[in-house]
Amino acid sequence: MRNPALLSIVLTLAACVNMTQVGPGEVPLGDRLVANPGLAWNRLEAPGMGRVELWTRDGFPLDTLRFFLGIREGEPLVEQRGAKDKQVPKFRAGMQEREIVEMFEAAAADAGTVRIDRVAPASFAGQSATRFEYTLTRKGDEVVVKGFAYAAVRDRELFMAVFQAPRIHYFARHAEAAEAVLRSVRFKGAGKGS
Amino acid sequence: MDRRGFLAGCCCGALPGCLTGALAAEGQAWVAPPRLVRPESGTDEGGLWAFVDREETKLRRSRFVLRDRPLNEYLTGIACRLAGDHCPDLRVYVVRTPVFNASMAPNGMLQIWTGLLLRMANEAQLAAVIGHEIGHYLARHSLDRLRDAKSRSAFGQFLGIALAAAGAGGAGSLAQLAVVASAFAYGRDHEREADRIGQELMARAGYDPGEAPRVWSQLLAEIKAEADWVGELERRSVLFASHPHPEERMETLGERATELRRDGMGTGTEPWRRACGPYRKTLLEDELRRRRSGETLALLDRMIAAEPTDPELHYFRGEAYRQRGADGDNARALDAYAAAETFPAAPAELHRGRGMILQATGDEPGASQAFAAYVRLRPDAEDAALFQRYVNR
Ligand SMILES: [Zn+2]
Repeated sequence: MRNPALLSIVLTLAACVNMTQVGPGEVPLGDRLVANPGLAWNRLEAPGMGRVELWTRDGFPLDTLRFFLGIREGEPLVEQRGAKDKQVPKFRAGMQEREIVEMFEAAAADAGTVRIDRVAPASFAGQSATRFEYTLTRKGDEVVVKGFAYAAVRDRELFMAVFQAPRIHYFARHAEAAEAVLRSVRFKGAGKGS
Repeated sequence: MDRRGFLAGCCCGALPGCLTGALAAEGQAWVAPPRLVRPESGTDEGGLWAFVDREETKLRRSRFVLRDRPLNEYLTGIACRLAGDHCPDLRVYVVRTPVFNASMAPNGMLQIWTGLLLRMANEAQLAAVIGHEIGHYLARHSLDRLRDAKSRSAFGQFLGIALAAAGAGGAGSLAQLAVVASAFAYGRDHEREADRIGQELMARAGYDPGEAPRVWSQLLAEIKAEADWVGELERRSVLFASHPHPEERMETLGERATELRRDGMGTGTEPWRRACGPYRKTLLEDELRRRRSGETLALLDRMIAAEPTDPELHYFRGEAYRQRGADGDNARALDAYAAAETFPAAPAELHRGRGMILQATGDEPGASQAFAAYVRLRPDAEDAALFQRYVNR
């Protein structure tokens, strides 16, 4: 989609697709997580999203906060059109941190030219996690976007959140708020002090 | 358009009544036409040129075009050796996409995608591909295609998509370029003619024409390896059912190579490696991310056979096996990393790959040692912080 404004219109006009305001305050993330954003975000409501949630501040695809809420053993991060089963990397519970980043790289490479800028240990939702940053030149519209992500494995499932926005203007504008949302994520029933 | 697309495109259904006037009868030397003049704007050919001119304007601005001067001058030099008097009419664009593809538009815009660049073993192989594209250009095949009723709807569709995209503004998109490329998919007779002209140009420029069939055999070997890996043995027969067999083109090119070969012809292997060397690592990283393990491993096997003492190639073979992760791949990857290590200036990343495999197989001390070596050699690596953690344990 070349025209971001157009995409927003398409998304909001389609009958079964809605944007709901979430936050500020506690917001459930799927069945098992909860976030506590300090600001209001817009959450995409659409059928067939599975265990994925999409949030945005200014509208898609200006800025996108994507949650993967429990990718299971043998599941890919995203479906890749035209790719055969063996050509798509799948999540394994025993995956190492760098392999999870590689799985993301392969998915991102489908969308353009990707470069991983930084990978470091971190914590996410009270779990030991990996945080990485990347730059992607999208082949669809040739926009350069920057992103960062947190990935953690719990109970043999991958929990991951990725914020992405155009390098010019939008990334800087929302990165801090997105980072704050991700720092607020915890498993339901877990203490706040994680 | 991937490499299968390239094959499908280059062999797509036979066009009836296709013009072969420019091509002399078998056995006679082919005579290049004079330089092409820009067609009148009111004609169909003029419209086609105007359209591709606009595409080129977008391509010129594309972020996917590699603009480094030495590489561009080098590739333009090869194209010019082939094109002779037509050299001033060609403009080379190197497009960063890990896909085997090259195309030449009727206005002289010549695109070479990096997936193709990576797969060429020498200048002569690239000359075979560019010569073929110049063949389409000199014989003005796109005009035949434009005028052919069968392809008119495909062209109409492509113009429609392109115009819609143009209306939305912005730079040229790569997705769109693929559409443009597919619109120039030629028929069987055009392909044969382009093969013939291309190989002739190659020989005249002093390149060993035997490298032309080799481009095909390499490509077919990769496609077969991928089909074997993904377990789709039917794939090829479906693909080639309605098309002439690439084996046939390969055979024809092979036979003609014997006729055209003269003393003193070369492959230009050394200058090719020098010119493309600085880009190879990036292109191999792009290649790995495609996760086409069969193709990638066939490619690396071929490259290693040609340059057995290059540590970077052994390292990438290790990475390809590690990422594929099939039965026995861990051991193959470790062997490849070990092979890389025996040569000077081996990539430090081999220690990371080795550490990851040792970690996965429960060898904690071995993994720590490997990660420590990686971080010591590449303290500035983008992921050094990740492995520092293991070292400090
Ligand atoms: Zn062709």
